[in-house]
Amino acid sequence: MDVSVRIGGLEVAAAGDDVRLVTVGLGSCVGVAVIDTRSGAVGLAHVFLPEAPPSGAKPGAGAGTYAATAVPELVRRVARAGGPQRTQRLVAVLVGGATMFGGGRPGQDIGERNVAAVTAALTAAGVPVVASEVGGTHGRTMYVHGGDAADVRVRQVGGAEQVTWSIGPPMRAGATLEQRRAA
Amino acid sequence: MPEQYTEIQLDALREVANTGSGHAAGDLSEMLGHSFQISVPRAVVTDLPSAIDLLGGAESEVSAVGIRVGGDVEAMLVAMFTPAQAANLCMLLGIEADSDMGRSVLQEVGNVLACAYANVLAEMSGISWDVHPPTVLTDMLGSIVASLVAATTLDITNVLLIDSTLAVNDADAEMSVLFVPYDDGIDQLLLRLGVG
Repeated sequence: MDVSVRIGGLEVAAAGDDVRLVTVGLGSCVGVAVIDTRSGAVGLAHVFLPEAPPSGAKPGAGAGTYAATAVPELVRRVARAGGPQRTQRLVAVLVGGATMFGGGRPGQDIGERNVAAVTAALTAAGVPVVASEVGGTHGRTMYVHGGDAADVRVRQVGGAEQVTWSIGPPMRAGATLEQRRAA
Repeated sequence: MPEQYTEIQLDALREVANTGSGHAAGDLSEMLGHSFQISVPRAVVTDLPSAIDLLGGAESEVSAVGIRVGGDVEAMLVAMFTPAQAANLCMLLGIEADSDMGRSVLQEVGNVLACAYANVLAEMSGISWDVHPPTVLTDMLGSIVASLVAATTLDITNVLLIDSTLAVNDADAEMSVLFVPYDDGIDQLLLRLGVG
């Protein structure tokens, strides 16, 4: 079953949920997937802006709207979805951050700024970015699958789904991502 | 931006949209030798995800012709049409849509529409502004609209979209025009229109 993540949205799925998180139409927005490679829990946020405006977060803005607050919340919820007693091994995949309208005002490349803000927030949270498909001039749709065949796929208008990241061989209990990659 | 616009303010913006559509229809009729008409525009103030749903859904493919206007007030004007709308419009004009000629005509239609709005806004509000060359792209509607709004109003809630539709030769060939002002541009504009 697909669970849609709207602009500014943030959704999490536990490994057993058998859902795919989908966010459609990432332009300058950035889709941030956080995957717990131990538990198979996944989360996806559709980040709209680097941070809230000086006047504060807009009423009604979703938990995924601003990179600065979306990333810590996403990391916390994916870790929690993995179960309280588990050790997590979280990784992140970034998609989006395109420049859709070239004629924007200088210094206003929101896509680039979104990618930078999300990357900084992930670094602060200690979550490595293991794959990304960012920049360019086209919109993207992002699909995040959890469980023991976790992967992140991307599709552009008129294109097919491409695998941007996958967990690799089926999970073995306690195996790290590095071990899985080596397997 | 204020949290809500009054009905009077929305009426003023609809009036701008109506007049702009009228000018655009006249320009297009003259340029392309067909009768262009305007259906009733809507001025929508809503949150961004809902606005995208209203326009046809985030993943629907659209071609967009965007022009940026700068000066007293900065804004983006974007004419958008779906592949079906583009094909229909070209068919009514007797042009192959999937050709250089077809693409060129669609760009020109979008450009004329967007410029007509810019001119009417300038006339009615006394704002002077420069019109930059158009940017043309074909992509997912959600990507286009969200990126546009992110780069302008920095506001995910309460975005303003003026949407109008055109018909050619009494047949159904629609396209939408969005007006997205930068920063507090919409408040500036309402002030100039006398309903701030």
